[in-house]
Amino acid sequence: MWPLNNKPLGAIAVLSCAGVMAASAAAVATDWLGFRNDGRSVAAAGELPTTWNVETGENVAWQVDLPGRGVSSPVVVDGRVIVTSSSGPKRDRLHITAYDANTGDCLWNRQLWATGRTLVHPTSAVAANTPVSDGELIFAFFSSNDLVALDLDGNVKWIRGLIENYPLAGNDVGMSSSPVVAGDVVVVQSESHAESFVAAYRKADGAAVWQIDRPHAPTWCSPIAITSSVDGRDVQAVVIQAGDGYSVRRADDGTEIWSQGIPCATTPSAVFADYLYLPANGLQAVSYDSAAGEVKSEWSESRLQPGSASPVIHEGRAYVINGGGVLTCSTVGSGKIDWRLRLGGSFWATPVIAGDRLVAINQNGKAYLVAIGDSKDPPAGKLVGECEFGEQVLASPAVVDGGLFVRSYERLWKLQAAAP
Amino acid sequence: MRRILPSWFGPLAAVVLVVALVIPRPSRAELAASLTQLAQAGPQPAGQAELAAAWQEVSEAPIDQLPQVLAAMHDATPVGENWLRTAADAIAERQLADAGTLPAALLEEVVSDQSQPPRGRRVAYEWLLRVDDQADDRLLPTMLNDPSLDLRYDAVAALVASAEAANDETTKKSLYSEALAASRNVVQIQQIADALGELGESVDLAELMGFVRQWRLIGPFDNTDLAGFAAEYPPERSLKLDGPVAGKAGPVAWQEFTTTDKLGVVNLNEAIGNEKLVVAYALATLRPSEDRRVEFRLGSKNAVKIWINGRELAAYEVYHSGEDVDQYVVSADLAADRPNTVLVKVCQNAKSQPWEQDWQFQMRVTDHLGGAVDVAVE
Repeated sequence: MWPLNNKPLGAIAVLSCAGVMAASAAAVATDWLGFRNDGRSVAAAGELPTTWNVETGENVAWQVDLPGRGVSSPVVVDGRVIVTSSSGPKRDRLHITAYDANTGDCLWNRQLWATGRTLVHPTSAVAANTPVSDGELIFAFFSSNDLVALDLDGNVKWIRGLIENYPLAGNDVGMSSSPVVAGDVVVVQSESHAESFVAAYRKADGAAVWQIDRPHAPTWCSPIAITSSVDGRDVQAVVIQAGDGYSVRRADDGTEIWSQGIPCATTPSAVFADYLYLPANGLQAVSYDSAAGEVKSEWSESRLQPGSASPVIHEGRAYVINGGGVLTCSTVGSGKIDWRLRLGGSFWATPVIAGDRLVAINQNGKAYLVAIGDSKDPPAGKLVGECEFGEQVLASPAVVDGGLFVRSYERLWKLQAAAP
Repeated sequence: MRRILPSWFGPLAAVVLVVALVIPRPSRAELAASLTQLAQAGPQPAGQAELAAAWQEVSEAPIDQLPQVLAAMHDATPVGENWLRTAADAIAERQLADAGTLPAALLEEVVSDQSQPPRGRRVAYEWLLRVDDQADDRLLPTMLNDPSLDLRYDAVAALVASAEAANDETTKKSLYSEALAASRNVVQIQQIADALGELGESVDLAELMGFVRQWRLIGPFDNTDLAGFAAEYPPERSLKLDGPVAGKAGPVAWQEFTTTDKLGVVNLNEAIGNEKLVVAYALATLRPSEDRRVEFRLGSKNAVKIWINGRELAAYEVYHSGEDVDQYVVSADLAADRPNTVLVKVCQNAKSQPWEQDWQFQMRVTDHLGGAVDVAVE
């Protein structure tokens, strides 16, 4: 284990994107509510530890063995860390487990049986989809197309076996698209060689509000929630991304607001931060003029080609890890590459940004801390630390109140700087 | 009489008693109604609020009613099983948190009663292990032929561990062989067969697992634009085996084919030809030793349909989205006094991707637990 520069983290990152959907009133800034939190993978507050050692326990607040395997990310809601797992010889035991964020104590575990397909690639798991929360309810989705809503105390509110409506839906790699909350609905995207669909279910009772049949082609990316203008009025919307293009649809009825038939990547997901950033022929930023009904290309950079991890946009800069493990930063709209850093390995986990640090964890469980921002010492793009987890990590981490929550296949760590 | 309790105890006890009596606790009849409601839960959204209310009521039931909750899985839908399982977990979790333990005897009674729903018994077993770390050693040896496949899997795994730990080859072979006969898990079976193979004991997996190896094949027929899946080619109209019929590029005729693959895979690229956008049919004639219901367990990377005695049982129009033994399972009744025909249609796409080259299927005939049944292939 190598020490990291013991430099305090810089200014607290502030979510300033007007277009990103605000979480419900129940959610607070110390939550991390879904895959990449609000889709941006930027921490709201707190300082991360600058070094840790999972063997000696240095700066490891706690660690727990999970009841099963998974590549879904942890989410943090009102002091609870929620993690999904799958277990059993046929991978059909589905777990939703809540841990006390401070102590790691298990608060509750709910187990279900998969009602759909559990065939997945060995590198993935049936628990591939990150759950999402509105701060009051948790919506857990699995590769088997099982969708369940629980309150924060583990009380089950509704259960949907979506395979009943789409019996052939199934993705042999593992359907990893994470659900998203938009307005009063939770939206899922399940696309495979056979039946594919996007559907919205009412948060309160699981009623299907709308559903759309989709092309028979697999995707692994996740929908994101945004606001979009319709007739001069902002409405909740979701961005649905696939290989043949993307569409922005109203959350309340599924009506398409705008779309483009540009080929998009099928694993890394879009980001909304002032513009809609799409992993498409590199990275493309677009906006929508609702009055004119036109999509406007704001910026594109073909040299920013995301591999499996999603891009991160923060304070006017784009951060992308390509398939070769090279982290590249470019100032949006500049037409130039600010810096490149060869990290090494392949990355499934989307990096997170906290203050003036970016944390990227490769598949082999090696974490890199990289300086970002405008500081001269260390300069942006400088590797300021490396740590090993000793296990494969495919899930994107969560950051809350200075705690970094990292999940390997079967273990969950909370890393936090020890009190002085 | 000497007072042995403090003066405040009486009033407090009275308050506790009153509270206990006042707090509504569902009667057994009320609980039964909620359990029925949860067990019958369907995939549709109707009644989710009522189901949530029923779940809340069941989840607050005392631990002594846990067997009733688990027994409700008898006729539960798959979604209903999940409502019941999560409620059962909530009951046990609360009891363990409040009392620090669970009634092990009650749980073991459920686990040991094979008339109870297999999944309910599994739930009881998992909670029993939380408070009795000797339960697996005590119970698993009795579960090698258990109707709960999850419990049986663990029992076989324990026996395999014993075989691995045994010092002499004879004991190892004996334990592995016993485990092999009991296992119904495909991966576990292969692992045991490999272990026996290393000890010089060959295992005929296709025979053991009930794969059909002898087929009659015909093709190719046309699948341009993937229209062949819906097209009704001559084998779907008549199973006359004599004489050629029109195929994709000329006349085609039935030919006999026996696969030597250890898991019964019929490679149509080899048997019919390595072509794109084609359809083939495979026919087997089965005769069981007695009238019985069987399961046909099919695996294929290609789009497939299956007919039993001329009746279409299932259709899966899925191309190259993975293959697994027992990928598709359908049930049918077979008669012992006549031949029973099984017709499988296997469609290949345009093979536009490197991973789309395979054109193949495998099928086995089993009982409802996945054990091979006594069926002759004529």
